[in-house]
Amino acid sequence: MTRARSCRTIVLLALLGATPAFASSDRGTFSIVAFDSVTEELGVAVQSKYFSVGTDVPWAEAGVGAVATQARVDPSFGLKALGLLRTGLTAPEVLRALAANDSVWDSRQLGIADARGGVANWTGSKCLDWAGGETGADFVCQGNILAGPAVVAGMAKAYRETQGEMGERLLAALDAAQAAGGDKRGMQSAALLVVRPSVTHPQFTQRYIDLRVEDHKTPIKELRRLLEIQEGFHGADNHFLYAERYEAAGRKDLAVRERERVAETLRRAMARREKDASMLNGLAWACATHDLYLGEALKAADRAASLEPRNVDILDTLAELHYRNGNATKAIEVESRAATIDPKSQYLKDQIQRFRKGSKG
Amino acid sequence: MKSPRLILIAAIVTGAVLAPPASATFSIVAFDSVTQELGVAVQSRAFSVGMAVPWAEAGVGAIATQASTNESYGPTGLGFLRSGKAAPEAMRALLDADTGSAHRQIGVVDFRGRSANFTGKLCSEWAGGVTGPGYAIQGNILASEAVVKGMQRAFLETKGELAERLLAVLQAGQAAGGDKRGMESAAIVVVRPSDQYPEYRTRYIDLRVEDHKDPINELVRVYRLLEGQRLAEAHLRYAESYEKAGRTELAKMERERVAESLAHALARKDVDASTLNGLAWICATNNVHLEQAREAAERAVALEPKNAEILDTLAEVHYRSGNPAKAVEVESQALSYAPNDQYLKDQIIRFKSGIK
Repeated sequence: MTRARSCRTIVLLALLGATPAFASSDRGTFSIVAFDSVTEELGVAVQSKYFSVGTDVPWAEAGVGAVATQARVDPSFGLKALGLLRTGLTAPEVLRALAANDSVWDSRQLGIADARGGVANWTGSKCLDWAGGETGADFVCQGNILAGPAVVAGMAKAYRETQGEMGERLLAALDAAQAAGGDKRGMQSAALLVVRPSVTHPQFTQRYIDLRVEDHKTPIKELRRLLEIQEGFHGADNHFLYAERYEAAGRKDLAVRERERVAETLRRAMARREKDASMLNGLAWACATHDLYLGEALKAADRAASLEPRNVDILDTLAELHYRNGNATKAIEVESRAATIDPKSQYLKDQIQRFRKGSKG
Repeated sequence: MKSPRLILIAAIVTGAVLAPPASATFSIVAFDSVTQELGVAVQSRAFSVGMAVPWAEAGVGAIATQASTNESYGPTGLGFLRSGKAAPEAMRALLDADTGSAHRQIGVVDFRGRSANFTGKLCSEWAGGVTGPGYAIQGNILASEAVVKGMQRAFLETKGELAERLLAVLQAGQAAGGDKRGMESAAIVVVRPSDQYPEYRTRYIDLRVEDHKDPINELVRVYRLLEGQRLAEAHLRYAESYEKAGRTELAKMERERVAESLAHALARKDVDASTLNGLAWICATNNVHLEQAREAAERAVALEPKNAEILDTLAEVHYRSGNPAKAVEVESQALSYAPNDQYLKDQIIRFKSGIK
């Protein structure tokens, strides 16, 4: 237990009269904190050879900022930094304010992004090797007890070069860090937190994406698996929601971009040969009801139906997509198959009727 | 995806907005008037229930929002409680402002232990709940009413800290048939006032199991890891602050919690060396429960006999128990596995100075 080791050193110092009592210990960790000025998302992704890193390190609030507090962790820096950002201070100013009131600043590591594009990070000289960070235009990445500087450089490069939504880009950064050697001592936990302003859905200001892997042999891989489920089951609804809002605000370009995210999710699911029929069904159905990406959605529904050929709900989705793709005959054929499996369903009968009429509901 | 689909069809026909799917779920929200802890524990067939259902803030309240979940009940409801509304009023205000309330289920408890819950008439069977002073228990798409009754019994009968009681409630819910559609995710959140450690106000205990075949047992497993590390540390922090405030009986109770954690760890056949080592080290450096700490350190050494850090813990426990000779002996053994470790050498000098 490396934690005990570093605690131990601190306690020994305490015994020698150097520092008071039991203190939080050094925890080898790498993280990235970022702001997306277009979507106004703020996010943190983190991995550590320490249990439940998501409890201590990542903090974020939409319209305010995002923080990662690590190395000799003081979790209270999270709320303190958000409080200072809320008063209007920029990320670099917040960093200075925290430093001014901390007796062991040399052992801390922090990354901060504010909601106006300001970023700052800090690696104390007593953070354990290799420790350091990189500052980008709208993100910071930092780590300690790392295999080497390539870990942080890899994170930054991956974030810059990855396209798509913030959750994807943050995870790409963690993947790259791990590929470059990651945490010297190994892996245990990971977390991804993204927040986003929303008037109608205030929960998104604290938890737009909020996923945890507390104790796992390959936490980043597990986090990716969770993000895929999250995107498949909630992402489409969320993106359509924001698309509608942007549309209402006259921001057609942003609405298009939000809807495009759904198509990306669909493409990724197909590319990785997703085996979760209910996820494929959900994505296909969401596209069908929004009359979008009907060709791709049909492929997803087809795949779902081949995974679960006797699932009436899935057959109905497939029928709906055939219909919306202009193939009423095929729609009736598939829906009739569903109706033979569930002959009592009035809904299926109504659907067949609707397809026969050839008029879109 | 039957239910969302039906709603979507309705949406296509009527132009109404999309409603989220119902998530079969059972949960408890509770308040401990002694420790001032507020908590939520929840299990569901839905993915990542911890992201949607539980919301809590120390000194304010705890909320579980579920069924056809309206997540905004969480932050909005906490806002109502913060502005001075009692749990039943806050809940009423949320429901009154929501046209979809017939699909919702919610449980609320505030920082004075007032509680309330609500099950919309369109929640899928079996759906319902029970309340009592300091708690509310609720679930939907359950096997039967026995699930919430079993949860209530477990809450009232389990002793110890709030998190232990909340986990016992989830286990009892599952044992009584649980969620009709099975299990996927679980979460526990406990918050607690602290001037010195403000993070405890929003995350005192905050653990998730997002997608797992056996989420409740997995949640208990990760909770045991927390218990052996940060939670023990937190108890000793509270003990110190109670002591300073002249609340000796509460300080004693906090330290007793660490002894309970040690007892839990020692009672588990499959306990890992790092949990034992962590607990033993925390006790040693705080001079509490040294006898149990020695037992824990010895078991950790038995599991990893060549781990210098664990041997160091055992040596420290011996030293603190008034046995410096034994401490020197064990630390010398540690040094034989890590001969260049200056820290271990310093420890031996320190222990030797204690031998008269």
